[in-house]
Amino acid sequence: MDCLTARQILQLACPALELECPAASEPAAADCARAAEHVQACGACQSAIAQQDRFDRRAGQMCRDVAVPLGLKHRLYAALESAEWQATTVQRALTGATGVLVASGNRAAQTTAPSAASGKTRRRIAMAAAACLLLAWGTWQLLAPRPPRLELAAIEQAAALEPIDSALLPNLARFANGTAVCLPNSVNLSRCTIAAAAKECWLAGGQVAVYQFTLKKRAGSRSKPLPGQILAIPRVAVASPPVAQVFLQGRVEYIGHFAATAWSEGELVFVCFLSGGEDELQRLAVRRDAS
Amino acid sequence: MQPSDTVRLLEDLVERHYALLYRYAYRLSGSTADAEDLTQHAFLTAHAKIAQLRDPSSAKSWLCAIVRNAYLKDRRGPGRVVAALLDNLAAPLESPTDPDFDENQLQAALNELPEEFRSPLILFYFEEFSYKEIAEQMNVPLGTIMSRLSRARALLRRKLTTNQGPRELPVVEPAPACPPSSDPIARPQWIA
Repeated sequence: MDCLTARQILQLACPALELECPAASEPAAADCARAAEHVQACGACQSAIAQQDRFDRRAGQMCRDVAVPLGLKHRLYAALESAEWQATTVQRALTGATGVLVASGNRAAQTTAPSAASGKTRRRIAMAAAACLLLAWGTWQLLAPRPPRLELAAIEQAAALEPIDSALLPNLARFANGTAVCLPNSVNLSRCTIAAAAKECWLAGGQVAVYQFTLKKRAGSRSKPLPGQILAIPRVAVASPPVAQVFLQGRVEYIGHFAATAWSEGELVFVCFLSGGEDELQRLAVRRDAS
Repeated sequence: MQPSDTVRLLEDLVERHYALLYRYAYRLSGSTADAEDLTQHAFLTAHAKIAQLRDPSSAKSWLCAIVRNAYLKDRRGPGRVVAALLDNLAAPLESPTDPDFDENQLQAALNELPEEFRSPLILFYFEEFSYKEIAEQMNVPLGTIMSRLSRARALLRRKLTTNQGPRELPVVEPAPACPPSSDPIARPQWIA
């Protein structure tokens, strides 16, 4: 077997010299074996195949090396949740329509004399009922409140990765849905310098109240005061509010240069970011004094 | 299947395969925005047709096929499609040195490959699929996949070796429509 034929056979059927011969066809398997024999005895072929192998490895590595966008998984979950919600709503509406149709058919049968209760009349009543239901369902679709859309993870990412300049932001006392903005009760802010009013900020498409603060350095410590911020979001606007009910009951995540933890308290969901680690967050853990 | 089972299965599919699908979509389309759209489309299609997934172990191939079909659907129309002259490409390339190329040159070279060569090549380079799985996914015989892969590797290497950049290829108009998959599992409903 000559070099060209051997390499063609191996390139066709046995990439990277894995010797995967096509199917179970006898001649092809025999050809593969002969080609492999030739290559083992031919330096030029070995060099050419090694070169192709290196190329494949490099191209393959580059092909696989694609950065996946930040937050893509959460966006996919959100899209699927929305699709699931729509599917469930339609199914419920259809189930309801079927039930009413059956009921109206029965009622029609009871109120009309047996001789007059023709199939045609029943069909008309059923069609009218179906039309009414469809109209009602359409109106409800238009007017019904939409399910929560804000993804907490996306808000956290946006807040941690894009610096918020509170000096440029307006104060916020009440959210668009009427919920009052307030600080959480389960955070000890006595060691912090914190702005009196929350600032209004739009993150990941949602209205968020931001309290920026500085955690004072420990007594005798040479470290700098640590910047942090507390985000407040109306609980009803968050797709999956945290289960934790108080500060640091949930897990601590590290986003950007911040350690962050989220929890639900009253009508609000809070996220506390602090530059540094979990140990520093612990300094905020004691319940705030009544003062 | 109960709705809660569906949700759980879909969440599992997202967790396991979203990165692979995004990478595949990116290499197919060459655009991050298109890749994200294709990935989302794939999971929404999977949500709508989850009942067609009889064997969850084949979900990866199924999702990749959805991405590819969606990509082909997007590309259809009066666009220009580059068709390579693939004659004589089976001959192994004689080159004294290894080609030097970067990620952009690789993507540009991939973009210029005809789709029926690009898809199997990307899947082959991902090292996640066997020849048989690629053949099933593209709904073509195993031998055809082997032949296409061989030619695609040779063409890609030639492009990256000879010019150190994308080579102009003859353009054929109008675009030849790629045949949709006839596999009912892998074929989204919107493909006529």
